[in-house]
Amino acid sequence: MSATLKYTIIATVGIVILFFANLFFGSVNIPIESVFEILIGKNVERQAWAHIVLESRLPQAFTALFTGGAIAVSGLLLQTSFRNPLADPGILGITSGASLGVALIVLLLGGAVGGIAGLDISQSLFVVFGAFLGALMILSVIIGFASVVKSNVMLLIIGIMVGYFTSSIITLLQFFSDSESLFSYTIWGMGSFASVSSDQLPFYCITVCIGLFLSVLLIKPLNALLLGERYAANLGVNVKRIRLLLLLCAGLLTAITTAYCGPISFIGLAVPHIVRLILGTSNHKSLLPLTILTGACVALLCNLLSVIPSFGIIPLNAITPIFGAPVIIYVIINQRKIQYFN
Amino acid sequence: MEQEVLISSQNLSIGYTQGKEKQVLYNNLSFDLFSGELTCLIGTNGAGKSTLFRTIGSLQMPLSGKILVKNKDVREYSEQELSQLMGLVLTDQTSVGGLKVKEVVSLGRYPYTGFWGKLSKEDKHIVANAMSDVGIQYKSKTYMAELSDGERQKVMIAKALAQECPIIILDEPTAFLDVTSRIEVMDLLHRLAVEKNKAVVMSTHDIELALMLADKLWLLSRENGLHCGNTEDIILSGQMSEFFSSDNILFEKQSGRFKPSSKKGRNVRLTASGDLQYWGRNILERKGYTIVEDKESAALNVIIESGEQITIETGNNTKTVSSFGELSDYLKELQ
Repeated sequence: MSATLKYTIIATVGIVILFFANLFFGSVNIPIESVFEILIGKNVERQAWAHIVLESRLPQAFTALFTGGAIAVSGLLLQTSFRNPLADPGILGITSGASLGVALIVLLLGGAVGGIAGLDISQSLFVVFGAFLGALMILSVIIGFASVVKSNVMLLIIGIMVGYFTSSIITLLQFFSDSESLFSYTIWGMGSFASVSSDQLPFYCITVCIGLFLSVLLIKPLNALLLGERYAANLGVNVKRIRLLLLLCAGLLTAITTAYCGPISFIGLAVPHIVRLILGTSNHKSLLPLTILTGACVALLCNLLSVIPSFGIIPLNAITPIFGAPVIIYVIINQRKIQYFN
Repeated sequence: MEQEVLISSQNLSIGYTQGKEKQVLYNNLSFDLFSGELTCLIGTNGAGKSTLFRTIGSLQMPLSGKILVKNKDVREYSEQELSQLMGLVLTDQTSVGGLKVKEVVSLGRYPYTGFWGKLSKEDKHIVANAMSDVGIQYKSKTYMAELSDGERQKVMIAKALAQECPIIILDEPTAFLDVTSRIEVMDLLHRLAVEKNKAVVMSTHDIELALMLADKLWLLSRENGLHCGNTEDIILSGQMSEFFSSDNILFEKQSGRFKPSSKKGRNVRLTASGDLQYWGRNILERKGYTIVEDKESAALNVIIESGEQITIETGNNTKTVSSFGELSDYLKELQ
């Protein structure tokens, strides 16, 4: 338990430091003292600075904080419920389902809705709804196959194929849509923590919190599921209900984050592995909370890296693979050494 | 201790439903499972042992009929009640490599713990006892991934013990284990059944061990259905050979072993005693001879006085060799 406690403290301190770093640094250079003054509510000489800190950097830091935890934990839920080290919302096609939903709304209704960043809350809900429905659709397809196909590898391949299938529909939609909506869809696809405005932030955070809360409630059955579904059923777990709850929870988190921030790659896959390696356990009692914290840490770090360059902002999905890809390669090469899936 | 029927069946049919089609494996199965006994289910590959266990363990619905646990239909119990009645040890692949032995055994307390799965003092005590019952307590802080197959199996048995069920069902718990672990595990199960008055039923291919340690045998085959009975009764009534013998395989009542049935070879008379008799018979039968008692029909007379002095008489020829290896060479010469 002491390792868990130690790492919890480290992760929390990391989150606090990175959160403030996200407020202090950005593409516009604002002195640290001024940021402080703005945060504690004092008036500063330049109104633009206050606007940047309060309307851009603060919501962005909050979005990164919540999104990182959400994606990481939904990766963990899928890895455990499919008992597959390579499962994550992206690989199982759930993200592309959400993308399809967004594509249908943005590209088909493109002219009417406009850029996503500019949507007000009612229209955002529309996009979120689309993403959620899309994600849920792919989820149910995967769940359907999961009950028929016994092999995890086959299920993974099916997930990838379903992903290709949805991508091809998206490609068709892109081909027939106008350049303006195509552009806003493409920008959405690059991923960004900047698209949740301060008005939408409470809604976003509350929804994510519901998902995170639900995931925490599933800790006990998640541990039983490590033994496999039959063992879990023998321990009194209602496997069907728990599996549905797990997928709903992962689906909700994926859908809401993807709808606002775009499909963010690799965090969901890599963070649970990083935490397992650090903690040396697959007991969800410590693994799950720390996955949320570490996910938040990594997302804040990625966001910081994406805004720091002096020439502007780098798309988020150009940064996340820097953390994710080495972890995936490590997992594939060391499948035998990594013991927690045996 | 009084024996009690913990599980019994009524007109039970088991099998699979594929789409709308029912694939029946067995109709009208009837059995009783008693407390305080180790019961072994023996059947060939594909006989449906796992299906039977899954049906008994409520992981699979019976096609028709009922399973009664403590005289109550299994479907009338809630999931939680059932998890406190029957503990399973399956052949399923798990992914608990990253958990420690103690954590896996603690999962056996799942039906008893609260929402967060926090163990009470009593739970911890039961987990510790379960580990020491199977003799794995010295590895309680080892990762599952670092255990041998035998140790893993013991941990899963400890998990079932921690569940504190009067019934434990084990699907091939000795598969993939080496000889010593097989004996250890089966002996352990027998002791648990007797000492803790549990009903323990396991499937196995390890017939010799089963005949030695099982109180009751359940024989299962597609041709003959399910037969249950006391181990010795089943052997002496000839049901073992009825169930499993074929043209090439023979059940020997005397040793409780299956043997390849020997082709009719030359008759030989063997004079030896004790283990020399046993192994002398072994080598001669392997070489294709039939052991006979009378002198007249024997073409060969083999007298083994010790491992170093073996005399072979053929008609008027007498040869003495000094090892079983030389005996083997000489038999080859004769053919």
